[in-house]
Amino acid sequence: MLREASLSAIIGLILMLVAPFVFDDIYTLTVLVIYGLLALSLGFIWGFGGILCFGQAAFFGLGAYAFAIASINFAEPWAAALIALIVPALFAAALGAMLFYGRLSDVYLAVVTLVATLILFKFMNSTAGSAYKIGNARLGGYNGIPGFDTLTLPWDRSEYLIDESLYYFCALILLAAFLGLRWLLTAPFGRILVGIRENELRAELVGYDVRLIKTLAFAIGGMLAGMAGMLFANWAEIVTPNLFSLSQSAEVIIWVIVGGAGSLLGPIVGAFALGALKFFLGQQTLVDNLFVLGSLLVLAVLFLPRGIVPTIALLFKGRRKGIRKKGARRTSRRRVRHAR
Amino acid sequence: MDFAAVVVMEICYAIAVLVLISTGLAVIFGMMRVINLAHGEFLTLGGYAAIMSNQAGLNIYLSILVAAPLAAAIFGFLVERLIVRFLYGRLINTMLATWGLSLAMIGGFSMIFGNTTTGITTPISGFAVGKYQISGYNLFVIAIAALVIGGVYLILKISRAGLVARGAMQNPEMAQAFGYNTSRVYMFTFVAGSALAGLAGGVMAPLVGINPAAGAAYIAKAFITVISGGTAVISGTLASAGLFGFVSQTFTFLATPVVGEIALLFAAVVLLRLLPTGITGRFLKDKV
Amino acid sequence: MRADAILETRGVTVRFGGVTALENVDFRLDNGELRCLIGPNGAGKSTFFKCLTGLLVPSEGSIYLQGEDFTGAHPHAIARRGVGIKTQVPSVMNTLSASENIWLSARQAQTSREANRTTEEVLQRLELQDIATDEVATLAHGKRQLVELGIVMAGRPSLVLLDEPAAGLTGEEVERMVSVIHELNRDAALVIVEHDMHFVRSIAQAVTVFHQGRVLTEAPVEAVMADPSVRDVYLGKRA
Repeated sequence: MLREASLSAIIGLILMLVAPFVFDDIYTLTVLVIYGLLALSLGFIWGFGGILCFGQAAFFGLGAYAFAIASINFAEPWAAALIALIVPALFAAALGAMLFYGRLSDVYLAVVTLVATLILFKFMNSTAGSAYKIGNARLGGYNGIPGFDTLTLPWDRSEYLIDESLYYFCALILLAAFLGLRWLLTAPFGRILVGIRENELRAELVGYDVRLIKTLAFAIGGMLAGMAGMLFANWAEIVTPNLFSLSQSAEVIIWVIVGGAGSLLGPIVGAFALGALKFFLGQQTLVDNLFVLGSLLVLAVLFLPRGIVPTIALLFKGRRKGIRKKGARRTSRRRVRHAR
Repeated sequence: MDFAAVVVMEICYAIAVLVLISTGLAVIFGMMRVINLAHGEFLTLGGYAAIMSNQAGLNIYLSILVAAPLAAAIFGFLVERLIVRFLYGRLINTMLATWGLSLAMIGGFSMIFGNTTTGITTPISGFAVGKYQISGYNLFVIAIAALVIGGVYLILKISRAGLVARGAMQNPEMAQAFGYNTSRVYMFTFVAGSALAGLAGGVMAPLVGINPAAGAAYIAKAFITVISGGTAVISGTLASAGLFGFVSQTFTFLATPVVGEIALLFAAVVLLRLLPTGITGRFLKDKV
Repeated sequence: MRADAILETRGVTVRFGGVTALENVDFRLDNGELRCLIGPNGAGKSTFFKCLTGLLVPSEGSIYLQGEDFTGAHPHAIARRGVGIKTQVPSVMNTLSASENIWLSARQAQTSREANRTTEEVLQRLELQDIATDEVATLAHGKRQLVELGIVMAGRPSLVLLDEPAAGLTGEEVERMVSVIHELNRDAALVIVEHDMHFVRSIAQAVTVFHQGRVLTEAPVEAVMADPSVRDVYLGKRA
């Protein structure tokens, strides 16, 4: 177990160091890493907790806004970064508690998370007036909040994290989050979470408080998404209500579904691949970006319901273990994804 | 007194809009347990169809009441045959696929029509009640909404087609055993729901400008109206549209339209929290 | 209530709309006792079972576990009080292995290390070692039933509630089930809902007969089988 973990840590570090040479636009590469973290946050709660959140962008946006607002007010970016983790985590915990303690089903979970995102989107868009401010930070409506202090080196306040240093910082966080979640999934909490995904009633009948565990998992997902938002704020140096938009939420789901919700690596791969695709599409005007992304989602649902990474993994496994087992696994995993 | 009349008018109008934009979705959801997240873009499609055919010289009422639903119906037919029919019984997957469709349609619209807002002028002029101006077209919208909901009610309740449809949805095997082709029934239902969406888009086109992303303004409202209403097509839609229309319009009067919209969304979340079983139970009963 | 009652209910009543499914059920079970609940379909025994597990909250009446009021408690709180539950349909975690299923149950009240040991022990007791790493979705029905009993066993319960453990098992598997039930009974009291009178005779000394939502009688199994009113109930005549 430990060997495997250190192996993936080393592979991750190598990838992180090699990536800038393969893909020499470091600015874009950084945002791909941030998207990877955002996708990972949803991949965790969806793939392992069985919770499909249609509003992961809400936590992403909250993290970004919390960072911007706190940074303006306290002029202390590292404290602001901490706040940017706490605010979305608490919001996710509150929303999750409402959903799970109320025993709302999948569809209602989708509706409520979507609506919560929409409320934030509408609210942020309507805060153009000077009356809307938190401390010294004006919310700025659809123009967003520009001009906040971004992260610096902790030991040198004049050295901002920008370009390459920001890239390495983001990549290290992504790697840490990936390894952290891997560890969590082998720890009792993660195993219980997977057990709940498999059979909520069973987990409850052996004495686990399913509501609490799902709420905690949701809060962890919210915190990671908020962390991605915080990094995004540092990258973009402005936060706007579009962070909360429905297409942002949809995009995260597309990354995860294309990459594969059953693994931790899948969502990251999905985010990188589709993020890069979006970037290349952005450079031409012939085909609309959304058109491609939307079509991809339709095709993925129809033809690739397990996602890229698990499908490839399955092909390898299938070759080793024989066909029968593969079929059994496929049906049972599918049941999870489509559960009610 | 005049003010009261205007307020009542506005509330009726808000409810009518909700009814109009939700009925198509409600028909599809209530009868087939399919949530079409591209519903907003079906409305937009209706809007574009109305505007285009009007600009091509078609009479404005024909554009709104015939061209718009027809275009959406044809498109709905294609969507049902190519996408939705493979996903029946898998609610979350249908939601994901139609969400993808929604994004693809937005992209498609901007490739075809460009990223600009187009519109047509209202064919009915306003009139004055005391010192307040009332839009005549708003009355037209209320009338159309009433006709739509009445028509759907009659079709479902009285006609043979409605009976077959309801039977096929409730017990597909039984209906099949009676010799009805349930796949056809699903298809017609989806097409009918799409046509209703197109009609709504056409009717709304003179009031709001149409642009590729215009559907987003509708989908959330239609979506929560339908979900909160539950699977009873008529009573569910009327009940939740009545409640949400009242809430949003009241808050719009008291504060701003944005507050009104946020109040609407809030009311929906609270409602779902308070009444999860009444509506949820229906989901789980037939599906496992 | 006496101190040695592990489970006691008083006046438990359940109404669904206008229908009374369960009426005024008083029931007590002593430490270490094994009791079967029998009765024809719709007699209310499954409804009563659901009340005991916390999946259903009675409209009236109270439920006590070891003298403490647990009426309306959540299933997980009831389970934590040392109650092991097996529902009628095998309820297992499908894509996990048999040993993982059992481990998750053990881990609830034990450290990971203890849970590892408990899992090994349970697998051994149920002779499931050779399928320990198999995904339970791929197992046969009888094996899944055993895995679920393993889940129950791993929680080290002092009270076990089983809903129709013999349903759908082959003759050989039923024999196995009987011995597992006796094994469970060494450390725990049991309440078993069962249809099959033959099975009931082979495990229980005492039975409680439900009829039309009430307790009809409570007696040793041989006495109940000889009781003409019970036979009438099973044959469909009015008691």
